[in-house]
Amino acid sequence: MNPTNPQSPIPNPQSAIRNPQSAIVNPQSVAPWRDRLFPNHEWVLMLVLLFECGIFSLSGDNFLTSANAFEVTRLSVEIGLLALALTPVIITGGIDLSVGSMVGLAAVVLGSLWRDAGLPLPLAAAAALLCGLTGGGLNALVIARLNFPPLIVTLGTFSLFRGIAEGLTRGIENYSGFPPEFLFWGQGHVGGVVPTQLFVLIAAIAGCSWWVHRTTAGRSLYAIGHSAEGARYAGIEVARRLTFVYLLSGLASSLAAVIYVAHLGQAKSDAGTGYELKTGCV
Amino acid sequence: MKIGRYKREISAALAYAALLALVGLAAPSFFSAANLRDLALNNAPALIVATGMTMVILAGQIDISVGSQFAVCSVAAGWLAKAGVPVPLLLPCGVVIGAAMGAVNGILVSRLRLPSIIVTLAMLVAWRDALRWTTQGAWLQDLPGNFQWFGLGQTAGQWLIVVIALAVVAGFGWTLYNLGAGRAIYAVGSDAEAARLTGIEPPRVVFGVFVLMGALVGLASLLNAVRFSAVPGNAGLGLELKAVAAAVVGGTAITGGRGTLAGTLIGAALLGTVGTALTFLGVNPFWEKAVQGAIILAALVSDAALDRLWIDDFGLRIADCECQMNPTNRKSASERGG
Amino acid sequence: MNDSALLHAFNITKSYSGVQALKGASFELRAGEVHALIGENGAGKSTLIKIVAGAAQADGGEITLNGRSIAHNSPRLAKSLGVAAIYQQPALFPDLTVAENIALGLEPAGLWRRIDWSERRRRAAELLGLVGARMDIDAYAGDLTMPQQQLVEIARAAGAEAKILIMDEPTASLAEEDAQNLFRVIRRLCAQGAGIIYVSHRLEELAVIADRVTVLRDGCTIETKLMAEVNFGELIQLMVGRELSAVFPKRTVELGGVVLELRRLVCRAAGVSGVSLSLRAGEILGLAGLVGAGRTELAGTIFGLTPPDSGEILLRGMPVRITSPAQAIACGIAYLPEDRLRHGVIPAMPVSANITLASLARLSRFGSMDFRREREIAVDYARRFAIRTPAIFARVSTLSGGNQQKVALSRWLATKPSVLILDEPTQGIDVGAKSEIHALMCDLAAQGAAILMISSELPEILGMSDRIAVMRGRTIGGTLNRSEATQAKILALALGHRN
Repeated sequence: MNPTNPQSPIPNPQSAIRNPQSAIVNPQSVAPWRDRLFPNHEWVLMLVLLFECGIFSLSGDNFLTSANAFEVTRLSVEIGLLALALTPVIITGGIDLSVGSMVGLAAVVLGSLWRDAGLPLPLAAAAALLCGLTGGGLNALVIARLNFPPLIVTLGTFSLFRGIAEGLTRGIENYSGFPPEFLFWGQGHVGGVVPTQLFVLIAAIAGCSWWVHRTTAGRSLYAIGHSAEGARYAGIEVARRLTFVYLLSGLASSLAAVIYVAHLGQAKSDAGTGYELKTGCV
Repeated sequence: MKIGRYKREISAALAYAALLALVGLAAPSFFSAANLRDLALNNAPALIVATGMTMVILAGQIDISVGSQFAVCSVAAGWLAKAGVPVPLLLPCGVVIGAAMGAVNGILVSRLRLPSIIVTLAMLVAWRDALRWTTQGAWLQDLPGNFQWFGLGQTAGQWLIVVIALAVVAGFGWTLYNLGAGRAIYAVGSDAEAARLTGIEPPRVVFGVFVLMGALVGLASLLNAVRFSAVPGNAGLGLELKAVAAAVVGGTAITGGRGTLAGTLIGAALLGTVGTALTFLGVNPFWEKAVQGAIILAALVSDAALDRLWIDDFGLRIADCECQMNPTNRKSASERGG
Repeated sequence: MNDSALLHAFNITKSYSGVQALKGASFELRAGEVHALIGENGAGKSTLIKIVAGAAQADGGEITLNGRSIAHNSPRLAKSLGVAAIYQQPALFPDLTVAENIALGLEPAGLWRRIDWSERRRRAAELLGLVGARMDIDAYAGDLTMPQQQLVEIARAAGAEAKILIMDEPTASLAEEDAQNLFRVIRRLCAQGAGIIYVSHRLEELAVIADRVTVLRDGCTIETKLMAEVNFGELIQLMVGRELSAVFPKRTVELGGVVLELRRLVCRAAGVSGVSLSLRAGEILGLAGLVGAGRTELAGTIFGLTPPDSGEILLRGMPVRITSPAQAIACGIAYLPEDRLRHGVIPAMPVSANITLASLARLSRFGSMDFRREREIAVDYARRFAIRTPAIFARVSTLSGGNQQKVALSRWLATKPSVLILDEPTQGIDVGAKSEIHALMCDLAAQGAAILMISSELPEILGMSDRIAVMRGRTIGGTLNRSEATQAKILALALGHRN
């Protein structure tokens, strides 16, 4: 007798109900692409985004000029990584608002461990990634195990992670002076043209799309997104899948942070501000 | 009335009282009139938005486009002022513009039955980028002299803002408790189908709530804008999260149907005071967000702990099953769908 | 039309998703009478009362309320014309107090009216006193027990000063004393000139309270009689009166050893209390019972949706512990759920993905999905079961109900189960698909599968089962062999009525 959670995507049985008879053999009845690609109405966002790109490319001065393309991709690697990590989350019908804050926190952890604690850079980077996993784990615990709505939980951790980053640095600390070997990951070019981190992004895109589209695990994510209840009845371990998805999102955020630091040559607590909603719609 | 019904409001109030007591002991100067007035003034716009947000959440929806609406209203008011619209008329203008944006959300959610989180996320991006495109990020300067403080002078203007904010909370609080419309919001958020069966029309209520939300955002944006002599193009960043957080910390259930504006008032006050209080306690105020985040998570998890989560959760699942397992009711799912 | 008729419904039709729930039902209610409405599960009682109360719209037919002809009924209109209803599923607001739940049913729905809280609470206390319920009027409705919620509904209906009061199984969860109080209230309301539509499976109760009785069967009104002039046997005959409409392809199969055994299975959360059953290879065990008897709940407990608190589940004599559907599947148990669109299939996903969803592990090669194998499996089942679909990549929501059900069934057969629990396997699907599914069940049994079939359709139970277990009050009320079972015997066991 409980109302369905209004925040949850509504699995939509209507189409079947409206035309029960027509369904026997209907060559036209291939699934509308937008429902297959975007089980949770993300197409609304997509439309807005396309509309905007259209306006910008008409009005902007050099938004779509090819000369800028590579440098633009360099900037967008961090956002791209986050968007990638959010993809599985959104496929399961959830959201993770805390990714932008995690970029800030992981960046600060990296900077402070390297400079203040004197850890070698690879270790500090590993610690930053671990921090991302921990943060993702906190989200996963409260969302997947305790069953709280992702929106509110990650709203809390959104504030928490950013706050810890600001608290640790007193909001002003700015770690810089990283060695060139490290900066290569964010500023270097391979073959003189292609930005280094583009390879990381491409690898991540390849890995993620393989996982989401080509594995049985990815298939179950879609099932959860379409109908968590239905997935449970098919024997899919919903809580376990969700846990993994939020862990991954935390990990990818911290990876984005490492690249962000290498890119700008500095680690500040405001890294990644505003990424959460930006990536939410990519 | 049973105390137990308000346990979340009470625990938030106790937390707030503890915070105030702590600050009072450590730094009595916190309670100076000037500081309290600054606090009230800084939090008034967010409080008004949180009031609207509480009603949206009570009705079982969410609106995360409020920050962008806020910016649009601020800039629109600035333009109108520069175009020579008399200052007293700005307030109704802002409210109408906000209500119009709220109506867009309301139509999409209540008529097209799209999930409110998706609709308002799209609107958040759309309004913000539309504004960025038109203003090119520039601030609105050279406003008419009587724009700031509505031309009333600083002291009167400040009082006006605080009084309006409190009046909004009190007025809507009264309405939610005492008028049929208020109870309809609770009813729809608690169980839309049951509400329909008692003769309430859920789509109308949902639409109305989004319009109110927009109108309150318009009001809040003006009260915020008149505090300064220029209007920034990026006002209201992160406002949506602030408002949701205030409601949730104040005990509003994110699934709808439960919560009060008194709770939201306490929640907004608690989250709004933490930063200043930290300064007075000698803690670096940059920990503010961390403490706020911890408060939100604590509010969630303590709820669960209090209700003996596992049993509750389990019972809920069973109730769900029973609902679906009943053959005579087997058509109800399709009915709701259609 | 009778002058004192409060309600006149004539030739009402209604279909859901292409399934005809009402095929021309008529009903008349006079002032001051209690008019019972009875019929088997799915006979159309709930649909008819929903249409009268405005909760559902009729496709055709005429409704006259208080002499006024109604074209477009809605809950709001019906309420303003003096109709109040208690549904089988309490339609309460879990987050609101008892007092407010009662008040929302009584007060007009205006948005600008002032709420008088003390009057609300006074009235709620008074009405609860009237129905003899003792509870805190400031408690949240969501925290009440089922019987308490039912009492709140009754109090709300009693206070509505309705001219037409509809009660759907009001006593289903009530204790004897509460039921007596309810009857007292009903008599009082009748004396004041109200008419009451009373839906119940408890025939004894009808003898006490009803003046007239109307029997519905397969969406049609069969007969209206004076309660004083009929006996239970006649009523049961009228309810089940239909002949075996389909020829069932049931074959005799050599039964194997016991595959599944339940020993005093208890699940308090689901309301399964002490069920013992055994199921042999090749056997089809029909599970009959009224709505709310606990059949679906039992299936959920076996399948790990609501793990048992005590008792044992034995598979081929070995005790197993099942706490999740994934474990149940690993044990070789499959469950075809009742609610096809919510649980049976995922409508927005393609046919192929739906068929393989429960056996994804078999398609995994180092985590990578074997798409060729998936296609083969999907095409294989689509051919074998003659699933009519434009392509195996078409979304399941585009298929007809019968084909959706075949997809759901394919999903479970792809897991190669040894125990198959089918919950209303042919509910709401067309005749052709129905007999195809029946044939399929027989093939499976012949291949040695143990099948537990839950069905509310007595001919199906009688036609398909080797043995029939009848549930009543959340446990097994009795078991019948194929040779001895009749519709009347099953119904008598389900109603707890012994001739």
